[in-house]
Amino acid sequence: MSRKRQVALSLLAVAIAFVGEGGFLLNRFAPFETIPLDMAVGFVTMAAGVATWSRRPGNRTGPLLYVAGAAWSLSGVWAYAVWPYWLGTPNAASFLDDALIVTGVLLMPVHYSILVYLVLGFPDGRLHSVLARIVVLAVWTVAIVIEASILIHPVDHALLVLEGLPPYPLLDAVTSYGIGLLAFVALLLLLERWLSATAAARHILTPVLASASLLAAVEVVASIARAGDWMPPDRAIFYANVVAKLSVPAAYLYILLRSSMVRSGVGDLVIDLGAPAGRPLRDALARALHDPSVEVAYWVPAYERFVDAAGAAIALPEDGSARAVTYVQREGEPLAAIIHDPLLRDEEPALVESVSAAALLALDNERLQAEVRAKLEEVRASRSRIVQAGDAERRRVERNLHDGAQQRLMTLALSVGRLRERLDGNVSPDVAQQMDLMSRELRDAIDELRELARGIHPAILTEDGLAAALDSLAERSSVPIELDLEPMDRLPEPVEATAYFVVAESLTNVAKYAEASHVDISIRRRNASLVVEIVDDGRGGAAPSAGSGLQGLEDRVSAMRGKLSLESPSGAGTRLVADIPLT
Amino acid sequence: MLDGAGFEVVGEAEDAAGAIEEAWKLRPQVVLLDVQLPDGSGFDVARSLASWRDPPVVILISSRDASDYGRRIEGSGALGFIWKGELSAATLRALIGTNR
Repeated sequence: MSRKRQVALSLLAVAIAFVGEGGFLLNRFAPFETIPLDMAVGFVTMAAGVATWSRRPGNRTGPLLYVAGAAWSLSGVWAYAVWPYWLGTPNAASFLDDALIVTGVLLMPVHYSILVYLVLGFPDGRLHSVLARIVVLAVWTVAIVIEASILIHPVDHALLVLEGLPPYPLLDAVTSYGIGLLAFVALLLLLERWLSATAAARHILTPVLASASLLAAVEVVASIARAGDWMPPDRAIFYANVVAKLSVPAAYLYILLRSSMVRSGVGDLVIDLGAPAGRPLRDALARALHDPSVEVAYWVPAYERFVDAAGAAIALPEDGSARAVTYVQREGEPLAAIIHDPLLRDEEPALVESVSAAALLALDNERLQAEVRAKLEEVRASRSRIVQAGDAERRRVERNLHDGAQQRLMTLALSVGRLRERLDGNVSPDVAQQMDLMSRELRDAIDELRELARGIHPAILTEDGLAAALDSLAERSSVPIELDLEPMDRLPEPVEATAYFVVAESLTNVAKYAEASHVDISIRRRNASLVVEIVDDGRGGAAPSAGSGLQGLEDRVSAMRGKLSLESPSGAGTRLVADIPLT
Repeated sequence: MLDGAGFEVVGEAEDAAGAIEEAWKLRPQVVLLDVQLPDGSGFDVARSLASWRDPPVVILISSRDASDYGRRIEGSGALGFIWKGELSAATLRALIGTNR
C-alpha cells in the first residue's frame, strides 16, 4: 500500500471516529470520559487495520480490522437521533432519525463478529478446528437474530430503542447466556491454541491470544453478571470492556511494531556471534528468531548436499511439511539453510531475512567447518569400508581354503588312513615306513594350511562369535592367559573382528617380545563401546612404529572410530586398551 | 566305513532335529555328531542328548580342528572329538576304549 493511501485511510479513520461518536458529545447523562475511550477503540482498531494492511497486503486481516473499527465508531450514529432528547428538546419522529437508529443498530454487532473471526483464525485467517468454525457461525447467527428482532419490532419512535431491547424471552436468553457461553468456548479455544503451539509460534501468537482472551473473559463475566441480576458497578464493566477491546487491535499493532524492530534482535545476534566464547551459531539463531527448534544445514558443494554442523548428511523438509526452510545464499551460491517454524516465514519474514543476513559470515565460517567435518567423515567412512571389505575378502579366502584345498587334503588323509588300516601287516617294513612318513607329511601340510587359514580369518569368529574365537585363541597361546569376558550377544561383525585382531596381534607381540609369564585379557561393554584390555607382566617398552603390527591395529581401531591406547613403561609390563564403538 | 568293523550303523539323520528324533527312537550306543549342522550346532545337540536319563556316547566330528572349538567340546557333554580326516573304526574304537 502506498504511503499516500496509508495517510488517507488514517485521516479517514480519525474522521469516522469523530463523526461516529459525535452524537454522544452532548449527552448530559453519560460520563464524559467514556466518549474519548469509545473513540479510541474505533480509531485504534482502524489504525491496526491500516498498519496490517500495508505490511501484509495479501492478508485480509488488515481490511477486516479497518471495517471492524469503522463499524464500531459508526454504530454510534444513533446518538444523533436522540441528541435533541438529551438536550431536553425531543423532536418529532422523522425518517432521518429512524434511518440513523437502524444504521447504528445494524452496525453494532459487526465489530465483535469480525473480531471473533480474526482472533480465532489468527494469524492466517483460517479456522483450524470445527469448534472454532461453529463459534464464529454462532456469533454471526446471534448477531443476525438480534438485529432482525430489533428491526421487526414496531418502533413508533426512535427513542424507544433507548428503552432497551424488545422483550422477547428467547432474545433475552440469547443475550444473557448465549453470548457468555460463546465467549467462554472462545476462551477455551484460545487457550488450547496457545498450549498446543510450538515455542516459535507462541512468541508470535501470545499478544493477540492474550488480549483476545481478556476480551472473552470480560464478556463471560459481564454475561454472568447480567444473568445473575448482579450488577457490578457500571463503570467497572465499561472500563474492563473498553480496555479489552483496545488491547486486541493494540496487540496487532504490537506484533507489527516488534517485527519492524527486529534490528534489536539482530543486534543481539551480532553481539552473540562476535563474543570470543560465543554461543553456538545454532543457539544464537534460535534466540534471535525466538524459535528453539531452529536447525541449520550447510551446503557442501563437493557433495552437492546439505550437512549438519557435525558434517553428517541432512535431509531438508519438503515443501508443505511442518517445517519451513530459508535458504541463505551468497552471490547466487547456496551457503546454508535455516530450518524453522513455518509461522516465522509467514509472520516474521523480515526477521528471518535480517537474521540470516547478519549471520552470513558466521554461517559461511561454520559451513567451511561443516564441510571439513563432512569430508573427514567421508574419509573415515571409506576407511571403515576398506577395513570391512578387507575382512570380507579374508573371510572369502578362508572359506575357499576350507572348502577347497583343506577339504581335499582331509579326504586324502581319510583315504590314506583307510589304506593303512587295510594294508596293516601285509606290506614290507620299508613300504609301511614310507606310508607313515606320507601320512605325517600330509598331516603337517593340513596343519600348516589350517594355521594359514586361521591367520587369514578365523572361521570360528564368523560362525560362533568373539567369545568362542577368543577362547580358542587363549587355548592355543604359549603364555598363560586369564580371559575375563563379559557375557554378551553377538556384536556387529566389524566390531568382533576388530576386537579379535587386537587380542590376536597383542598375543603375537607378547609371545615375540614381552617375555611375559601371564596375560590378563578383559572384554566388556562400556556405554556404547566395546573395551578390550590386554595387560601383560613382561618387559614393556612396546611402541607403535611405522609398519609394525601395533600401527596396523591403531589404523584398524581408528577406522572404526575407536581409540587405541598403549602404556608400556620399560620393565613394567604392557597395557593396551582398545575402545571400539558399537555403532 | 564302520559297518563290519565292529560297528553297526542303526540310523542316520540330516540335521539337528532329525538327530535328536532318531536317537530317541533308536537308542544307539554311540552317536557320531557333526559339529556343523544345517539347522544348528552339534554342541547343542550333544548337550541335549547328554541330559537324557540313559544318554548315548556322543563323539563330535568336524572338518575343522579341535583347537578351533576349544573348551566348547568339553562343555558339550560329548565323550570326545575326532577330526574327520582321522575318522576311522580304529580311531573311534580307540577313543571309546580309552574312555570306558
